[in-house]
Amino acid sequence: MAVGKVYRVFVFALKVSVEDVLAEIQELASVHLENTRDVIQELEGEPDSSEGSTLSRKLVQVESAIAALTPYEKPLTLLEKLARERPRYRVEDLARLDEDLGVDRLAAEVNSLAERDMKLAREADSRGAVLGALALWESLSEKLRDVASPTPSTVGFFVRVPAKAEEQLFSLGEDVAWEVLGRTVSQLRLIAVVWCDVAEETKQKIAELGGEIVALPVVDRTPAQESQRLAGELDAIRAERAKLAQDLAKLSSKLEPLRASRDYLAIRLQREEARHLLSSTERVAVLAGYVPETKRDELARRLERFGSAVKVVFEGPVEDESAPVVLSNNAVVEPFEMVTRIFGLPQRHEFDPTPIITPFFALFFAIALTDAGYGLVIMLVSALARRFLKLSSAVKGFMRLIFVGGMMTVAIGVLTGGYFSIPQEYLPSFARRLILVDPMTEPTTFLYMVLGLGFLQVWFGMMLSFVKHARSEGVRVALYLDLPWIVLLPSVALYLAAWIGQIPSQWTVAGYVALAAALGVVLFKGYEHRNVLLRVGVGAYALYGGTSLIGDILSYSRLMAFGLVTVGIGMAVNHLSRLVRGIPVFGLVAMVLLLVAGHLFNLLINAFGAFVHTARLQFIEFFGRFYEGGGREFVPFVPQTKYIDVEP
Amino acid sequence: MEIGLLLAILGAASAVALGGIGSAVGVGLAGREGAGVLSEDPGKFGRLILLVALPGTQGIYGFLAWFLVMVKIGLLGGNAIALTTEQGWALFIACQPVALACLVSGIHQGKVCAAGAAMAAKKPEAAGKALIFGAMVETYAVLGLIATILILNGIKLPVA
Repeated sequence: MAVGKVYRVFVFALKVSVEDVLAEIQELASVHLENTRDVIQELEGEPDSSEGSTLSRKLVQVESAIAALTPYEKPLTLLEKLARERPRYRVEDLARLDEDLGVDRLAAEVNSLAERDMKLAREADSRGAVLGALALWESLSEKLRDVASPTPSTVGFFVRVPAKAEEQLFSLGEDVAWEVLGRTVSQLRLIAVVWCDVAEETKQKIAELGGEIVALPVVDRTPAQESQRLAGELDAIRAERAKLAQDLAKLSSKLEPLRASRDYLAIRLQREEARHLLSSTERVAVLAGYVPETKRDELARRLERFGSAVKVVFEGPVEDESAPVVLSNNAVVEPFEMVTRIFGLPQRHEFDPTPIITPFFALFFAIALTDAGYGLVIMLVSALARRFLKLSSAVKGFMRLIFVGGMMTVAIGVLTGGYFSIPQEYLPSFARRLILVDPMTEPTTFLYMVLGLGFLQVWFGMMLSFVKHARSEGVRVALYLDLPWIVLLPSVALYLAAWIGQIPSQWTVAGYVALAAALGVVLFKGYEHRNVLLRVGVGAYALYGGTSLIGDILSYSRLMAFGLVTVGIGMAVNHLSRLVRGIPVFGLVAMVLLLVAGHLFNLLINAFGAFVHTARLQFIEFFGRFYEGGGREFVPFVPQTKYIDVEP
Repeated sequence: MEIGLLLAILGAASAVALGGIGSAVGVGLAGREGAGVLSEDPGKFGRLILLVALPGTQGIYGFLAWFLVMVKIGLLGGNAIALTTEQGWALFIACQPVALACLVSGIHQGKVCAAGAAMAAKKPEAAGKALIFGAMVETYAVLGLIATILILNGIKLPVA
């Protein structure tokens, strides 16, 4: 149940073997690499990275080729996409594939086709824009150049103005000659001819009136002729692009091996980058890192094949704080590691809290969700997803976590009579007999039960604090610091319960125990101080701080609230569905739709809230008592791929 | 319609309306920040969606309070019971904890989640921690809801 044992490893290799050694270590996927120079300060320098920039360049090229070909790939349905397995390759196969494919040539070919296509697209766009502009002026029978430069001292341009500006336009002065080409209700199209020296001024005046100067090409053709010519060019472009699309579509059959190649390049590049962590002497490279105890022998075995070119040294198991942390838990607990990870991994001297929070998390999640029907749905969906969909291992773990949560939810749902919030009258009698408490009709009882569970967890946290202090500072110190609280909490609770009459009044004697425990806190909390006044002062302050326990326990009341929300919204959905059924013709369909959508919505919202808030309760009210976290994560050197899975 | 019933309806309406406003503003704030993060890296969507959705719960709490009141006064079933003015006031006041707490906490939770989204832009692996910060603001909305539920539970009305 603890933090896993980890060994320090040093690998000394002749420089010629470095690439292969890194490949071997990468494939093992269990070694955490350190910056060697942090460990062995005497060494400088690193083995030359000869291939780094070449690999980077090739990777970029292959990635752009993949991006160019992907639109031509046969589209998959959503179901196919989810169920599709990532192709698996062994690293040797990847090397061979690389050669067979002629990746460089293929990528270059695809990229040049794609570039040409992009260029043609731009040209088509610009021609299209000009065509659009020319369309309005096709009635003109003069050549465009003649309009633009009628004489050496005049210049002409095309103008569009809103119709209402007509008067003002014509009153612009005698320097402007107008020819109206077309008129609609809202617009006027004309040619303006002015002396060159007033051209700019005139254009500005026209713009002020809301007019637009239309830029048309200056060529020896009429608008109609130019339009025809451009249309012809556009057709040619389209034809060429169609051919390019065909070529690319044909090449898209090579997408899968191209993707595999991309990942092979990425893997090699990762090895190149890992080289930066190594240091070297003239002929030998040194690698420093950590390996879990479980993988130590396999690492040694794998490196044996290099014979005398490589020497491996193991040190450990490592005890100090600097080493990264690896968790090892059984199959039931392991999915809950993700919760611990959100907060932070344990430091090496701490114990792994995951097995402890597993039952609490599952229970509180179930109480917050409170519906056996929803629990069943969750179990079903997570089990099916794990079985039939190809998911990453992180998501698979999450599915296992919510499966366990779903199981608990079914149990709690049975105890609270929640089956999709169906009113109790409709439940069979055996189900009704199993109900312990109905949150809707007895919210206060439900609240007390939840607070009771919170009390238990806080109390348990205090006991774990005892264990923590005992491990780090000895049993005597643990007794001083934690025993008074461990006694104080239940005795105060018993006294209060007797006082308000919930339990027989003989229990008020617990009050005396509580006083004794409080005294214990005051006297022993500051045990390391010699000065009596200081010691008592520290203790009294700590006792005063104990009032925060009330807040901590009350914090668990949110579970009751979430449980009620689930039931309440479920009831609302049922109620609304019943109302909707009355609608003629569509009533039944609408009712079913509303039921499904409403309950699904309720399930999602409340499952999400249950997860986040249960996690929050563990972190703040529970971890706060005994757990620090902040351990360094063990990050193994693995092949990181985007499209394929690497088989070891 | 009697004043009593009017007041009760006003209370229920305020619960769902103010809770909804709180959530709407909160989710909006977080969503704007999230969109900004996505404009740089659309791949972060999965991590951000939970942060953006988190302030949405206040609206649900308000809706629940509305529903509980509506059932209690029989309005959903169509047989509204007769309420005295005092009972109407009691129901109105009972709804205020959840209404006001959800309004304010929803807005502030939105701000925390927006900041969390900005943090996730730089450190995506810490997005889970941002979620916990957001959840902490929700404590007070929850307490408001509990208060409302317990008060409503304690108000005894003639059966519809």
